[in-house]
Amino acid sequence: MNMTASLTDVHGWQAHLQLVFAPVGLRTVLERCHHSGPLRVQRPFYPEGNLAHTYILHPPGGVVGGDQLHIALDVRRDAQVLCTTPGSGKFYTSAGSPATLAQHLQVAAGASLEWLPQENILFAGARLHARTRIELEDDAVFIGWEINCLGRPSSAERFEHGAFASRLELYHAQRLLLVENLRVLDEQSLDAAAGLRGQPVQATLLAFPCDHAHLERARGQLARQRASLPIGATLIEGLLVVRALGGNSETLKQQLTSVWQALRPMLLERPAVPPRIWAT
Amino acid sequence: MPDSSLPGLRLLQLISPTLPTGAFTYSQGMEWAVECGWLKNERDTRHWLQSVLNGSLQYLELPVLVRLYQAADSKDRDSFQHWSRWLYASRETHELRDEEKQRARALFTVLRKLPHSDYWPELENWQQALFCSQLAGYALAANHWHISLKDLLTGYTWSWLENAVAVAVKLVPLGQTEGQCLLYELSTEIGTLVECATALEEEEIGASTPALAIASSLHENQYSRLFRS
Repeated sequence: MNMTASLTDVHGWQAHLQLVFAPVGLRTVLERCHHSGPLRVQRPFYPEGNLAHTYILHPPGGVVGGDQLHIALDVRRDAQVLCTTPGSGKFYTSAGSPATLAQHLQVAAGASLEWLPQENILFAGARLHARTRIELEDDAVFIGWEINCLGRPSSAERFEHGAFASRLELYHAQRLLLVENLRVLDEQSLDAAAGLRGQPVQATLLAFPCDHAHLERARGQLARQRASLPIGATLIEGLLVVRALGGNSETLKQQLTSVWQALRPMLLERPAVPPRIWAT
Repeated sequence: MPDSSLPGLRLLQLISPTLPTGAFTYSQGMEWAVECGWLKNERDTRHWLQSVLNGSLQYLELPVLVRLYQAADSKDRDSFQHWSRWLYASRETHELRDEEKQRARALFTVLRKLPHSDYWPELENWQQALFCSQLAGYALAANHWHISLKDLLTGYTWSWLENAVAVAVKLVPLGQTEGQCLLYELSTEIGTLVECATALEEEEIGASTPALAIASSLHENQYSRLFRS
């Protein structure tokens, strides 16, 4: 084992990515980009006018124990951003300290952020602390999701000996609207009857600002899909929350994508065309 | 000399199903869970209630109740408001939030009408927090009536369980005796639960119960319902 590898094992890789988006002329540009460690952003591109499409990349392709990923997005006034990832985030088995994924998303008045990362896959024995903080100003628009796959259902691998703690907080005008805390510390919690019910994939979609028309639209869309998995939408203080459990990421992604497609024209007055990268 | 049996009696009154806060009118997702076949019998019901006890009771309601009680004890209005709001923001669906608010208001109304409540300044000054979550009212009353924190946590958990079992008896359905056996069995876990919940650090607080949240979301527009939404 060489020196670099052993240092990595002990301390993990620290990666930071800070992105600031602002409108310049007719376009939203990446005004500032600061990165250190293995996190990158691709130059934004513009398949639909002024809205910046952005891909966040994690070149190593996987995260091990002790690694820390920090992502901060600051979407300034009137900027419009769609952000996704080219592939799933992989979190590998780790014996020691847990990996950290910290995400901080700020959306200013008049701005919009679509935060549509592909799923996180946690291998059996992986340990991950995930924390997402979303701060929306006045009339900011936000559509985002989180999809977590515990274990690898495609190879019948259960999330054994792993640990996953995920906290999500959403603030609007500095007021706390929602806190979610998912905690999977033992095998018992994988099967919790009112919790994950033995389903490996858990997903949440959030959309703001919404009213009953958005809720009806989302419910109508889900009813048309006739999904055989448990999926439900609710509206809490202008925040639409869709939660789902299922056996594989693809099905859940399709469900959430269809809700995104139904809501996008209402929230952003844009038709929803799935980012090309999802098809590759 | 104050009557030493009074705090115990006050606790019984506070957690009694006859306290008019409408506890029995909500099913917390169970009505949909029965409809979709998740809860078919005593065994399913036991697993469901156990997972709620080990999830949101242990990691959310009880540790928040601890902090509300301590805030009431030290007359710390900001902390009381913070934890009441935090509890509310942890309620996962519109229906669960509605229940929280309705029961908070009902409890406030009862406390307000009790004799001598004029001499209880927090009832006036802490209204925002008291309207946000029923746990705030429980914590304030318990502190005011010298009910110990441990007794409050134990009593609150018991009352939640008693109510949930009553809902299950109606919906699953279970026999009355089966319900009593379930209560008898599950309440043996309450002591440990209270101990674990009391020991939690601040950053460990919080729980999500995805299946319950989905069931509650779908109950909001379930075709026929016995329980409120």
